[in-house]
Parts: sequence; structure tokens; C-alpha cells
Amino acid sequence: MADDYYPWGGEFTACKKAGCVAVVILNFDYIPSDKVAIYGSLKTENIGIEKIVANVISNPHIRYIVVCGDDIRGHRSGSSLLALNKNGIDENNRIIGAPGAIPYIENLNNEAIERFQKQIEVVDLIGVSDKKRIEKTIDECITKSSPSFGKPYIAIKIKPEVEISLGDKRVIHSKIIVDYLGKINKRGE
Amino acid sequence: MADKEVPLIKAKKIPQKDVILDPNGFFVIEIDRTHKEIRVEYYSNVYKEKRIVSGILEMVFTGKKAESLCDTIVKNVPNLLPTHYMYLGRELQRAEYSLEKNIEYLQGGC
Repeated sequence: MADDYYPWGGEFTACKKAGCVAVVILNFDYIPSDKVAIYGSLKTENIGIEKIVANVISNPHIRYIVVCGDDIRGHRSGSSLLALNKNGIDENNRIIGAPGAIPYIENLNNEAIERFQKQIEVVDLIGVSDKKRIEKTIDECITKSSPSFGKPYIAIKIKPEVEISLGDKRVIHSKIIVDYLGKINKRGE
Repeated sequence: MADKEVPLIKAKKIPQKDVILDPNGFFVIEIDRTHKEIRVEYYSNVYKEKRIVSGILEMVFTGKKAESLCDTIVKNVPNLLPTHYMYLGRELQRAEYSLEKNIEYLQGGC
């Protein structure tokens, strides 16, 4: 089951599979302790947020996202993530109340967003880059020992392409072969 | 007199403000440190009020080398603007260097 976690992939680091905390880092260098489930940086208020949502809801053990560091100027990605968790999206797929320039969610459906809202509590440490304070907040989340949310929610799946050889001639009889177009030929022709 | 005259043209960078965004989509390039490979996501444009605000994920390419990624992208995503292909070539070469040297990679603009 854990192999299904984090289906979208990207620039993040996965640590403890059964960890309940994800850490979103804005604009500063910080490596959280390996007690967390996953951590990574957030840059954009559209695709960046979508990736976080898709990846965290795939791991039902994650119940908290700690957002720390200074928000991204113009994008306001951290504040937009908080707004998504609190308000969801409108009929134009815009995050309601998000301060970012283009906070649109286009790759996730409403069910995935509702799952994100129910499964995850976002802890607002925007503006905080004191690593001791962040670690203390992470510890507090862990201490709450919130239960797993149930089954993973796979919002998006990246499916490896199967290579098809056009020269593949499948043998169905010692004297008959079928080519890739389904045309039947006698063997040796 | 020469038999043929060939123009010599000095290179000049197009200013960022004059870059034409590709109507056929855009790419997000990242380094996947876990799998030690370059990850390229291709998105078709999403427009709101005539401006590009996001994209729909259409394909993901992974590989370690810029040249194999370039070949595969050209095969699978035809009809991009020529400047867009050249941008991808430059960026993927940078990404390959960052992966090899294990240094931070931040996707640059056009």
C-alpha cells in the first residue's frame, strides 16, 4: 500500500511512512527531523499546491501540514494553501480567498479537495523560520497521535508507458503468424 | 568577388517581456533526488480571461540525460514553437549538470 504514496512525484523528500506531519517550506533552507512523513518547498500557488494536495492525501497517516518560512512574494503560495484548506475552490476553480495572483486548481476534482480539507489540518507558521519553534510545533502535532484517515486517496496516477514493438509478430500456429495490424500471414512469407 | 556571400548575424537575446508564451503548453522541470533523475511535466495551457493561469498535466517524462529527454519530448510533443524547443534544450542541459554535480536546480525563464 505504501508504494502508492506520493503518486505525483517531484522535488520533495519522503521520510517516515507512518508519520503524521508534512512540512511545507517557503523561501528558506531547512531540513526537518526525520520524524516527519514528507517535506519539501512550495513555490507556485497553482500547480505547486495541487502537487502537495495530491501527494499528502495519498498517505492517510498524514494529518498535519506545517507551513513555515516567509511567503513567496506575488505568488503568496503558503497563504493560498491555507485558504484552500479553509475555503475550497469556487466555480471557476479559483481558491476562495487566496491572495496569490493565479491560485487555480485544475488537476484535482472537488472530491480530492474535500478529502484534503477533512484529512489535513494546516498549521500556519508563515513568517516563522526559527527552526526550534518549527520542530516544537511538529512535536506537538505528533503528540496528538491522530489516527490514520483510512485508505489512500489517489487523485492522479502517472502510468508508465508500455513500449509496443511494431515488428512484433505473434505466433498462434506453427504455420500462421499475425502481424501488429492483425493481418494473418503464413509463416515464412 | 566571392562566388557566394553568406550573412554573419550577431546573436541577440530576446528580452523577457517580448517572449511569446507557447499556445501549445508549458513544461515544469524538476530534479527527483530520490530516483536520481530529471523529471519533466508537460502541461496544456489553462486560460482565464485570455491569460494563462495554470495547466492540465498531460505527460511526464523522466530520464538522466538531456539528450534522451530532448529526443523523447520532440517525439511526443510535436508543434511547439521553435524557441520553446531551444529553451527546453538549454534548461535540460542545466538540469543534467545539476543532477550530476548534486547541486540545486531552479528552472529558469525563457
